[in-house]
Amino acid sequence: MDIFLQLLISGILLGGVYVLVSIGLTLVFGVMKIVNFAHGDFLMLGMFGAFFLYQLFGLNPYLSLLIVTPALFILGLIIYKTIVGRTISRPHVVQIFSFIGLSVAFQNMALVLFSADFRSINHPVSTKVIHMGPIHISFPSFIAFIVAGIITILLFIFLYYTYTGKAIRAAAQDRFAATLMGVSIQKIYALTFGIGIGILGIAGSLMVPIYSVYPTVGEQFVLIAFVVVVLGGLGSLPGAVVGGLLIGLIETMSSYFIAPSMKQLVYFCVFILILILRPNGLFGKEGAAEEALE
Amino acid sequence: MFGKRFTRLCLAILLATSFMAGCSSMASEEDTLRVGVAFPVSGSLAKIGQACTNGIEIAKDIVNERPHAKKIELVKVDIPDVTSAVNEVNRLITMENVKTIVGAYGSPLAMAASEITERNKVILWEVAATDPRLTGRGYRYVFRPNPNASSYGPASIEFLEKVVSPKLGKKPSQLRIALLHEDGDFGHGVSKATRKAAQKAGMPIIGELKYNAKTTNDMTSIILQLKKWNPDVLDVVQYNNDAQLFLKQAKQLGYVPKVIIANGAGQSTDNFGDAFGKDADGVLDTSSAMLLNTHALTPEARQINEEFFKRFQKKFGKKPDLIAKVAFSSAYILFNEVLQKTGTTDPEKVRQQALSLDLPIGSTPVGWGIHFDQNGQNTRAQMTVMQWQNGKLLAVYPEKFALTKPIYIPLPKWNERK
Repeated sequence: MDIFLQLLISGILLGGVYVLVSIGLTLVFGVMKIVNFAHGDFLMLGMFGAFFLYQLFGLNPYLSLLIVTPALFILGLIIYKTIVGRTISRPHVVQIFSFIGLSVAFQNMALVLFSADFRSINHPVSTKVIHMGPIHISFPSFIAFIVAGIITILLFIFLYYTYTGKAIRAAAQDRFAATLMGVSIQKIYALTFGIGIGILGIAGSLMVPIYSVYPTVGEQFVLIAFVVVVLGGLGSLPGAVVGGLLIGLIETMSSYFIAPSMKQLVYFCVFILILILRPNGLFGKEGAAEEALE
Repeated sequence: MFGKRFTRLCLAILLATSFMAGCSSMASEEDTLRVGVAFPVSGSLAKIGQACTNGIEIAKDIVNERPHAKKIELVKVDIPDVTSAVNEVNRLITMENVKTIVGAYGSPLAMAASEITERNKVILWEVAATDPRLTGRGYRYVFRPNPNASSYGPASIEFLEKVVSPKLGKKPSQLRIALLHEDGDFGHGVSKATRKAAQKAGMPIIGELKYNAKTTNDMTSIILQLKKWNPDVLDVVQYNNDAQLFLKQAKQLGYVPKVIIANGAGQSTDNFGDAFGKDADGVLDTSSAMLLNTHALTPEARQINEEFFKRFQKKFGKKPDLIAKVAFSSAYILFNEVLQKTGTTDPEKVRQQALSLDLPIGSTPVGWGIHFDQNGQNTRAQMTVMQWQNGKLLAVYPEKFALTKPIYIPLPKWNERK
């Protein structure tokens, strides 16, 4: 029983990390209908940001969040102005390759600037544990989980109860109607992309105590993020949360009860099964994918 | 913006320079020895690929600065994946006219590259890949000074038998071993040999766990399984990020076996020590030796060893890690013992000279001797068991290479550490 509880908690905490990584992706996808293939590399930049703030200035990674997040938000705006905004009305091939190009550029830039080392912060917080009877709860994963919850709720409130949020949703539902109602699509898109990337700043800062950082760390998470987003339903926030937790749980459970090397097989089987039963994902609206791929 | 004329001018300049570069390389073929250097210096294998390239640079510098030396010229290419390994090695052979290539680190890369080199009768001097198949196919032009994956296991098991079991007060047959490894070629190759060696020594393997290093973001389930099995010895084969994640989570979950013995890769890089500081202390690692007792080396190897550390620090502004030293040592053998003697990179002559090498153990900075079998595998690649102590990876076995005695056998519980 203890083992099962421990697996359950670890699975949920791992799911929290996946949620953190996926929210930005699903937001950008849902609103702008573009697939950000460089998503993992923005995460890498966020992680390096937090790592260096700790390494050079001794800044606690949970505080560096306050610097890394706005920095990535601004980076998101810049990338939108220079690249994404210019390709958004072009054919999908153009968008896909501009993102892949961006991904290659970021990875190699990191390689040149930061070297290919696998770095971890050696801070007591990274191995801190909360004991609850026989259960060990990893402190940094717990924090990441809590913050993932807070971010999702804040984002939800923002999207549903503020004027800008409503404009974002309007743009997501019907780009042309929103424009006719006086919504500046370019501004909304820039903001959405900025937020989507900014959330990776939070994710990066929270993940630095858990994982090692290296130029290709994004690849470790980006595939999972896509699985989570498609599973939950493209563009759906609750979908990303449920999808992330589900994948986290399936991963830990299957790797204990079946075999660690089988976990991918198991979650991809579940993934295929869910897509057969619900082609738009768990929370997806009908037509979200078609609209994106038109 | 610049118009067509500017573009044409650029093209013309490019063409002209590449043509001139071509000419100069043709002209200098006579008096310099051109050696191809193919490693992944970008992408996910970049860390080790760069270290290898740097080590080889130092070997070249040392040889070239000697009076009357025939100058070595390196032609470097980047092979981050198998496709580019095939393309770039092809290009080295056909366009650059290179006859001897040093490479390639990643076993899949080396396997792919060796197909091309063998077909073109070009030497592949492998300094880091460990897949036993590389020298197991009877290829004429493949040479590997470093040990292959199947030599890690026996060395680890020998250490467990000779040192660990008396320290734990157990007979080898009572030493319960669990294997944990990444599920790629490297992990499989090493653990297969470990299993075989353990059987021979009569040690029971009570379980084996494998995982994919690139997709594993949580090791809780693995650690819980190990807790349940409760082995005396945990024998691991891990890369970098997974090695760091594993120890971090093991600490969080309060798991520690009596002995952790790793086999190269993740626990051999300086990043492992940096990530854990004192928490890494006690972790054992079987590989080629980084810091070893230089009294076991021949005077020449000792001097080369010192020169390597000095020059590396000066040229790259940091301390070399293990793999850089291994690459250096093996490239130095090629440059100094082979190419300086043949005076040419002609594959047949290089092959003859390499096969005739007969250097006793202790004649290289990593402690190996050199004697190739007909398949090009070095039969005198001596494995060392090292241990993390105070943030340094020090040789502890075999005794003549040992810098210090092994500590923390058994490993203390996490909360009992100082």
